[in-house]
Amino acid sequence: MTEDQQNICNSNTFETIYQKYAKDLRRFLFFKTQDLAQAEDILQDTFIKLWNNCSKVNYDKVKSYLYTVASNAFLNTVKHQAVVRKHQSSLSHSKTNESPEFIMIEQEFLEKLERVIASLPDRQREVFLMNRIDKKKYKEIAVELNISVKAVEKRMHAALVVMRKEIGNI
Amino acid sequence: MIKQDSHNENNRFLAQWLAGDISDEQLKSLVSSEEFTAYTKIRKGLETIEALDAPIDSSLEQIKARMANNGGVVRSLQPLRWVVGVAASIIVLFGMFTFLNNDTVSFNTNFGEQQTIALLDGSEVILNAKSTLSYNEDEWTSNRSIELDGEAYFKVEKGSTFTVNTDNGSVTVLGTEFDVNAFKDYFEVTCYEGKVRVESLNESFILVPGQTVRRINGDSANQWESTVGAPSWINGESSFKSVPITYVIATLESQYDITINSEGIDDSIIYTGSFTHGDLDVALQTVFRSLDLNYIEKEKGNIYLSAQ
Repeated sequence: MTEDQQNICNSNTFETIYQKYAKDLRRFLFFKTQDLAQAEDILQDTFIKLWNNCSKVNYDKVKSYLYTVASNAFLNTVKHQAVVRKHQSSLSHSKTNESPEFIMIEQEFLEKLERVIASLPDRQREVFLMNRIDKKKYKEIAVELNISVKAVEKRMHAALVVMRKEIGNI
Repeated sequence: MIKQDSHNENNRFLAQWLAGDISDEQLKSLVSSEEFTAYTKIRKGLETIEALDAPIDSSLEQIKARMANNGGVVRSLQPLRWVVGVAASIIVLFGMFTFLNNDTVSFNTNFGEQQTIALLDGSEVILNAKSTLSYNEDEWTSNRSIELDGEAYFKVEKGSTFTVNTDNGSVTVLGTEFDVNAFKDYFEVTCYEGKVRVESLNESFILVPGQTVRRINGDSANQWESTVGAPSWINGESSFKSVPITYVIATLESQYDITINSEGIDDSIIYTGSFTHGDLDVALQTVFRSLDLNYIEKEKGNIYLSAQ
């Protein structure tokens, strides 16, 4: 590896590092924050901090640097949110901190869900991925697979039932 | 409402709910609250998986934009931009040099030719045969400098320093008339008006009107005075004062486009005299008869010399 490729201040190297770690870091941040937008914000802050300190960060330790910075940034937002919440509760005692709609997505749950999707029967997985990944409507899938919309919906329904069964009661 | 069995193979409502065709409230009425919570969580899980799997390129674009906007300690994400700048400058400079080179004005005279050249400042140059003169038109106003290979007579207008560079030395004047003959290793400068400074082989000479300095083949320089008002070659005659015969032969060759073979004679002969540019026979007679040398034109343009 050339010196340039190890120099984080080189924009190509920086982008390579970003492509390598950003997705995992975003996922890591999501499980902490349970908020995609917040995870995204911290992700961006983290990489900007890496860029600003590019000459000081050892290339071999860039991963641990990213996760440390991201964790600290998360803890700072938690502190900040605690202040915000305290302020809000002093204004209105009637509001609760947690919304009843709030659903925690734990890492274990998500990994289990991913495994279940991967192990779906072929006919169900095909329809499921076309709908969820390719963002195709049931009608479009029906045309493409030369089956009825009803059949597509049945497969989707069955896929969700399988997921529910595999994951168990929550 | 009776709860439907979601496990029934023919049911489709979960698919419709996931697609948004059935509302959460409707689903609540179709399944147990336990199942509703589970499916809601699965739906959120699916959305999360999709969001976390989504390409991260758009975030990178935002990061780049934030870096660009932050300024201060935040550098641009393209540190190579300066390289592009340097490259562009080099290209521009290169272009300029190419351009400047194109602005180098060059004059060549052929055998027996003379050319009068008017320079930008009104100075005049008469170029003798087989000579080359060039100067940079762009730099002329700030730097009156001319490259000369051959012989030329200069009538320089008063102004900034005027320099004639040759392989054998340089001539610097302020405003005057002078002749420079720089032909191979022959270097002769005659001043006709004003003052001329000649630099040659680390030696410096100041010439006043009528004075000539000459250095041949790197030997010590000779200086003498004469009374002519302008070089004779301007009037169609080449004059020599104690010049080795080889240089006279070279001058004949450049005036008449001939080749003179001097193997048969002693080339250390010194010649004083002149020859006309108008008639080769007369010129050959004047030079070689006076030196008691025979000349014969064996082939067209090839003249062979021999001692009598």
